[in-house]
Amino acid sequence: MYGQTEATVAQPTTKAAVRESARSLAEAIKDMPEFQALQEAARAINHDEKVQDLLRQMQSHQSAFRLGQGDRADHVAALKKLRSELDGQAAVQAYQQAELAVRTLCRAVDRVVSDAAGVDFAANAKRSCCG
Amino acid sequence: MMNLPEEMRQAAEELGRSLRASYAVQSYLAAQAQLEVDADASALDNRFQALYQDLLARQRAGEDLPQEELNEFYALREQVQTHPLIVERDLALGELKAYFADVARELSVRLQVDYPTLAQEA
Repeated sequence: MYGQTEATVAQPTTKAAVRESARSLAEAIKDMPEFQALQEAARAINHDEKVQDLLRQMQSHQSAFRLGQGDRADHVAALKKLRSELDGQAAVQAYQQAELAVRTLCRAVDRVVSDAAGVDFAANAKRSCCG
Repeated sequence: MMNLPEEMRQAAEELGRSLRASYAVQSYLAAQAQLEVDADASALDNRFQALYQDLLARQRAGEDLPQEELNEFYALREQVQTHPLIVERDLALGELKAYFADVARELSVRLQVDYPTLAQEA
């Protein structure tokens, strides 16, 4: 049924059609208010001095931890405190809420894609660590 | 489940239909259908999947798995890995996953987020 001739002739056209459909869907998602809110929240985080300072401090502790510099327990405690402070920032909370809304949107989109495809799309599209 | 605007739903359905018409999905669905009509192969596949999920969950929960159950798993795995219908289905599934990953990358690049991570149920 799916012989070599059919595969080699039919697949390139189908692949192009699928890519075009994926591009159209991406544009539709980008136009959604949930997605635009996520982009806005990401921009706000990038321009928030306090958040950026906390992130720099966390990176510094993570780097020192990896390199074995200083007391590991001190780094872990500092990271926990910084993480808590980071989660308390209004810009971070706004980002987390926006991301949750986009997750809900993408899951609804994926349900429709998967139902039409006859196979779960996102679950099978995720690359595993083992190839 | 969230209600999607009509234009969005149509775009999602169009991608789904395009995927369904692809060689990768047709091959997988055909291989899976062939497997399901063979009662012995289907039972073997289901038994292996159930045992695998059970052992995985218990191992992740920190349980030391009994050797007897591990031996049963290895024996079943050998049967699964040499059963022609299951092998064919698994090969088709591997090709489907590689293809879906490529298509999802198209979405992820354009959205600048990892679409499979966001879209997959927790």
